[in-house]
Amino acid sequence: MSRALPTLLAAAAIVAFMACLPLWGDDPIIAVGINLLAWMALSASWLVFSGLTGYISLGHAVFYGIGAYVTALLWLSVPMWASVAAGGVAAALLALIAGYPCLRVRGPYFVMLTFGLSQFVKFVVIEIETALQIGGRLIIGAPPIEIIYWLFLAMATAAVVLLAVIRYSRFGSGLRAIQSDEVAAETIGVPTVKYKVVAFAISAIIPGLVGGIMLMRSGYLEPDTIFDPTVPLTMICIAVIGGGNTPATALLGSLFLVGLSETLWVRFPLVYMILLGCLLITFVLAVPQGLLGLLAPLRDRLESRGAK
Amino acid sequence: MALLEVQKVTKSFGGLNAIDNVSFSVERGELIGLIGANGAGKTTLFSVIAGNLKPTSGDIRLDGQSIANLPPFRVSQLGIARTFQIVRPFLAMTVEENVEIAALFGRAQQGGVQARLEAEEIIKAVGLASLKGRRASELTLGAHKRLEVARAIATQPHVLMLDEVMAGLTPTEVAEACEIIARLRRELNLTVLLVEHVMAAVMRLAERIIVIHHGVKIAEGAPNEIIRDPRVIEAYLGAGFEHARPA
Repeated sequence: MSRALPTLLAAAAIVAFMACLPLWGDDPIIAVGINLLAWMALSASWLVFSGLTGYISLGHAVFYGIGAYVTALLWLSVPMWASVAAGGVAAALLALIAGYPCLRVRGPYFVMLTFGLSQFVKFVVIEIETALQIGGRLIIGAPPIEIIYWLFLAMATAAVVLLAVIRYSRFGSGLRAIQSDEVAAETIGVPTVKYKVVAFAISAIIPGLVGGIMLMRSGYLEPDTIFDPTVPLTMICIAVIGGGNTPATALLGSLFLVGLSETLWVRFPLVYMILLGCLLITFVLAVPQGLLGLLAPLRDRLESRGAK
Repeated sequence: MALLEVQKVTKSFGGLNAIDNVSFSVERGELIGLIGANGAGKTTLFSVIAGNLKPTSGDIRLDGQSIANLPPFRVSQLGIARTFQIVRPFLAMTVEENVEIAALFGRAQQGGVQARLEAEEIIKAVGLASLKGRRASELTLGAHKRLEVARAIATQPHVLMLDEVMAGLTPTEVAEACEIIARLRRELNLTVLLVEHVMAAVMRLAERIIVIHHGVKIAEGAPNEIIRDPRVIEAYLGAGFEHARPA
């Protein structure tokens, strides 16, 4: 508990700093900021489910995609905020419905099912759009980039707070017990099915909202790109790089991945994806415990000094 | 009314009856020993009572209420706890966290602060106090068995089922374990089902013994009757060894 106050102060400082960024930064800076905040929001939400339960979801693109799609469908027929909110609700509902059958299987089977679900919804949406003879939907009248930036900041903050609150709650203890040994967890009284499905639904809400906000940013909807399977893969990369399942995991992981990809993109525009791939492989091999594990000795030293 | 009633329970796996029409009842506060050779079906019986496995037929009643088709978490909330013969600690968590989580759930349903306090008490009671900050993955088998007991107790059960918690312990440790079980039982007013191969412990602790052989209950009675029972001797040693029975 002694660490709670400094952590809260640091978090507040980060949020305040990020909130002021559009006031003096130019558009490229804001664009990088949006990228960073979006990945923080997505990876922290992914950690709420996959980081705590150990069930690796490759299906989080579907929540992002359905959020964007529902927002596009409702665009201009309801207030802007309502169309985005509807995207979040739709994502949570989809997770509740799909979660019940999917979460009956574990390990690789669950991974495959979530991936299949995401492909399934993607092609259903493509078919619907084709049948309606709509090649892509334009999003007209989206708010200016500063507003979108602040929305992403709100999403990232909400996702990180959600992860922190859940991780240290009774619910989070149950989820971590499921990760550790599901049979033992249900034998000591953890309602495993309910917990898994609820966690899955909670972790879908923010990706659903982020999908809608991202749609406002890009200005048009294309089913192929909103269900991009590299989205959940990147979430996993961030979690692995960050290490563990804490808010700091999402923070450090996103900062590292976005920072690295932006730097490489500027310096080596032609081969930056190749370099990024090589660096990630090296990182996983050399630092399997993630950045958080790497920083743990430092933190322990600081704490023991503080305790004296 | 008996606290726990097992009524004609059968559990079959692909035509093989792991438990075959077993019935018995347990009075409140009793300590019953369940013995039988390896593979006799004792652990399967525990799994069926705890809800980890559904019985093929028959019924199980706790305080008169049928629990035969409830999921394990409901059975735990109603007050039945079990340990696992092949231990299942939450390896990545500390001893403290392992026990604390059990106190948050089960029948206990404690709040965070209360759960921490109770976990501490229980850890002390099973003799793990010096290891409470250690990760479960760092412990020895003996400590894992104690942790299994601690976690089961933290759920505040009425009925505690202990599955070979003394296997592999030295005679000194067995004596200590017996003492812990007897004390916990007295202090927490527990009803205990004890599966054990260490006969010295069963003889010392149990008021009644049930013998299971190939899934069938072949004998039930007071410990000193059971060890003289020809059917039990035959089941353990094979026919023709009646001369080996104690005088």
